[in-house]
Amino acid sequence: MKRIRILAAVAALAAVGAVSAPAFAHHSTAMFDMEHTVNLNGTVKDFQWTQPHTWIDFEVPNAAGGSDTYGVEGMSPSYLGRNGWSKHTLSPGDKVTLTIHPLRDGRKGGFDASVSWPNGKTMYNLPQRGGAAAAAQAK
Amino acid sequence: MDFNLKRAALTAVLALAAAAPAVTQAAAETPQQRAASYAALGKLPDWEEGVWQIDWSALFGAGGRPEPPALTPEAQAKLDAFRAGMKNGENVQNQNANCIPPGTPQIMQMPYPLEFIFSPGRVTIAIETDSQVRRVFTDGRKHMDDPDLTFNGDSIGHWEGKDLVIDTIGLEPHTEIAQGVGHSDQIHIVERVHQVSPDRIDIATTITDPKILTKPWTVNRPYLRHRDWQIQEYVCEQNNHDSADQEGRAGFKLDNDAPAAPAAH
Repeated sequence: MKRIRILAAVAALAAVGAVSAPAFAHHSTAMFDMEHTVNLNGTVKDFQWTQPHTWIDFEVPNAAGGSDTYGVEGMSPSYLGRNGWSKHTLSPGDKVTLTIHPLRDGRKGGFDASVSWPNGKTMYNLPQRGGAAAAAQAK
Repeated sequence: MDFNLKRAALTAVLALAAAAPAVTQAAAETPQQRAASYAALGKLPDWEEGVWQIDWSALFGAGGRPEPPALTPEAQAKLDAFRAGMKNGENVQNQNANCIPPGTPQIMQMPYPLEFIFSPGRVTIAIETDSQVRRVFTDGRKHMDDPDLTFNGDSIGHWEGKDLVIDTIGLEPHTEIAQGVGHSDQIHIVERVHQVSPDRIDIATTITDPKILTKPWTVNRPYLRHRDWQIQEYVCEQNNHDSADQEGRAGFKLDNDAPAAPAAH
């Protein structure tokens, strides 16, 4: 899958470190499993449009009949704001699917790869070949 | 000391105090000179239009990896130890994860844009990442004799035709020139900014440091113009979840986590 290959390339570059991977100016991807993704179906509790990263607190129903809060980091407003996102892209109460690279330590959180809405629209968080806008149009 | 003598001494002190600023402070421009020095800025390249972002494809290695630095044995040993630490989960983060700016030269290689501001005798480079500012004095002054050591150093510049040449010394001891490669008190950086085409400039960065490098290290990096962007605010402490520990291990703070214990003073 093309997208996964690109992500793997980002992660590989970050790991090598000889070239700083631009997707993560601020820190490495070491805490995330960049080779795998997990889909979370739930409700946006909070969308923080902040530097150096955006952040989603995301409520996901659990087996006990309650819900768990996942902490999901995203790219910065510096990147997302120039690639089709804004502070209004997500709002509390939105029911969406987040595709995340999960934390390696097993806690409930990760890095956002993409957001999908019930109407089939998907927006990517990480850079796509040809740019995020092109990837969104291709969907 | 009689009264007159005291008064004479006081007068002398005041005279010295009055004379001192005249030594260090340039004479004020006349309005005509000021208008002329601003008008002269119109002859400079048009880099102040829009902002410039490093070409991400270059960061991703398109066009080949840049030549690595040729390290002295001491610097190589430190880099080897740094890489050995990475295998244990150390050194995977640098201090930028704790919101410490990387300093020059690496601040110029961040993935977000920068802008040039021209004013008489000065080029200011305002960098989005970490809201950093570099002041490059182009008024003919020399480097400070004994500059305080700072993240972006003491920079002077001059124009060679349409190229801007920036000369930097005086860098903070903990900043790095590449991941795992520090610098000594002898570091000297020369950046040549050259416009390749209307919307592309290249910055060739040459680092000299005889205690770290066996020969000068030059890397050329392309930057692309985005005319419709503007620099965004970037306060790293606003919402940082990724603080690293002292050994550079990656951290990730969830909103539900207990607050970290306050650092010991």
